[in-house]
Amino acid sequence: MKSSQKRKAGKLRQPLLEKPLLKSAIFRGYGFPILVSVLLHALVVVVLLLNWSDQEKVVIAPPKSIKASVVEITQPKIKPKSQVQPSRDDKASKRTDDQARKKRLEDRRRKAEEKRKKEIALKRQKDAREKAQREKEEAERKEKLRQKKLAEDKRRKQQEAQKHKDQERLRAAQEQKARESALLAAAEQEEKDLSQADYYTGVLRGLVAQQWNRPPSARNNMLAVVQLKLSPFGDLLSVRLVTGSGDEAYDRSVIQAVKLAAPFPELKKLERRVFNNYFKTINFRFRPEDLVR
Amino acid sequence: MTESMSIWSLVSNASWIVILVMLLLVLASITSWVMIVQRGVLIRNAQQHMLSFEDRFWSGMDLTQLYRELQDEPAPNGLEQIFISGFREFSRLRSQGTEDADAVMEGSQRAMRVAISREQEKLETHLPFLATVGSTSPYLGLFGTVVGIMNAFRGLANVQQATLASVAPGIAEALLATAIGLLAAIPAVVAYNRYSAKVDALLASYDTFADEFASILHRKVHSRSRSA
Repeated sequence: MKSSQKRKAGKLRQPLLEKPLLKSAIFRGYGFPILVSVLLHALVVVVLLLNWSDQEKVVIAPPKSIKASVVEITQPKIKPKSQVQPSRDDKASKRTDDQARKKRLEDRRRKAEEKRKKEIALKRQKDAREKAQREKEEAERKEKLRQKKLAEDKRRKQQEAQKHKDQERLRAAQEQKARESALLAAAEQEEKDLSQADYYTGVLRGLVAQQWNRPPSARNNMLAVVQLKLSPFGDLLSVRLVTGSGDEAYDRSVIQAVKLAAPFPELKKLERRVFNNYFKTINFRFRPEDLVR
Repeated sequence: MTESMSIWSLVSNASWIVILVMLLLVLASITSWVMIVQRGVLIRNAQQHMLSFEDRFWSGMDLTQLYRELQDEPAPNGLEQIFISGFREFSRLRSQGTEDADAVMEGSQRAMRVAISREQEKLETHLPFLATVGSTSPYLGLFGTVVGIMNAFRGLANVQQATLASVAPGIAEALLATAIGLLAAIPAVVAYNRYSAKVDALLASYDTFADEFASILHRKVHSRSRSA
C-alpha cells in the first residue's frame, strides 16, 4: 500500500518538477512548425518581389551620323631583293697575284682612253662650228614665221574675245535664272517642311495635352517651357524644364504629361531632314489654357 | 505615376487601415501554417502509434504484463492511454472485491470513454482556428480591398481629369489585400478538411478498439464469476 502511495506522490510531483521542461517541450514541439511557416512565407515574399520587379527600361541611344569617304590605299612597293654578293676568294696568295694583273690592265686601259678623248675633242670642235652656222639660218627663218603668226593670232584673239563675251553674258543670265529657281525651290521646300513641322508639333501638343492633369494650383497665365529630346523613332530621350512657371506643381504636371504622352510613333513618318531640323530637340511652351481641350 | 510598381511601393503607399488588414492577414497566415505543420506531425504520430500499439495488443501478450510495461513508458497517448485507463479501472474494481460483473464492465467502459474524449480533445485542438482563418480571412481581405478602393476613388475626386493612371495604383494596392486573404485562407481550409477527416477516422478506430477491449474484459469477468 505504502509503496503504491509513494509512487502516486512521485507521479504527482513529476509534472510539477517538469513544468519548465514541459514548457520547453511544448516550445520544442512548436519550434519546427514555426520555422517551417516563417520560411514558407519568406519564400513567397521573395518570389513575389522577384517577379514583380519593374521591367527594365530600354535605353535608346540617338543614332550616330556616320560620314563615309573613299580612302585610297597606296600599296607599298615591293623592294627588290638585294643581290647576292659574290663570295670572296679565300686564299691570300691568289689575291696578290690578281692585284698585280689588275694594275697592269688598268694602266693600259687608261692610255687608250686618253687617246680616244683627244680624237673626240677634235671632232667636237668641227661639229660645233657647222652647227652654229646651221642654227643661225634656222633662227632667221623662224623669226619671219613668228612675226607672221603673231599678227594672225592677234586678229583671231580679238574675234574670239568678242565671241567669248557674248557667251559669258548669256551664261550669266542662265545662271542667274537657275540660281533664282533653286532659291525658289529651296524656299518652297522650306515652307513645306515648316508646315509639316507645324502640323506634327500640333499633333505632339495634342498628345501631351491629352495626358495632362490640371493641378489645383494651375492658373491661366502660367507659362512653362520644356525641352524635349526625341529619337527619330519617336521615343522620348529626355525632357527638361527650361523656364518654370514658378508653380512647381504645374511644372511637374507638364513634365509628367510629356512623359505619359511619349513615345510619339507619328514621328517615324517624318523625313529625316525635317526631323533633324525641327524635332531633334524641341521646345514646347505650355499654358494651362492651351492644354485644356 | 512613373514610380516602380513594386510590391513594396504598393504596400507602403496604402492607407493605414489597409496596412493593418494586410498585417493581420499575414499574421493569420503564419500562425495557420504553424498549426498546419504541428497538427500534421501530431496526427501522423498518432496514426503510427495506434498501428504499433494494435500490433502489440494483438500479439497474444498477457494483458497484465502489457499494462505494467506501458506504465513505465514516459508519455502514453492514444490507444495506450485508453487501454491503461480501462484496465486500471477494471483491476481496481476487481481488487475492491466487487462481485457484480456488470458494474465492473460499466466502470471500465466509462473510464475508456473518458480517455477517448480526452484524446479527441488533444487531436482537435487548433483545428477550429484553421477553420476560422479559412472562413474569415477572405472577408478580411475583401474589407481591406473595399477600404483601399474607397480611398482611391476619393483621391480621384480631387483630380479634374479622371484618368486610369490616377486610380490604378490605389486599386492595385487594394487588391493586394484580397490576394493575401485568399493566400491565407486556401491552405487553412484544405488543412482543416483533411485533418478533421483524419481525426474522425482515428477516433472511430479508437472506439472500435475500446469495444474490442471491452469484449475481452467482459469475457474475463464472466468466466471468473461463473467459476466463482
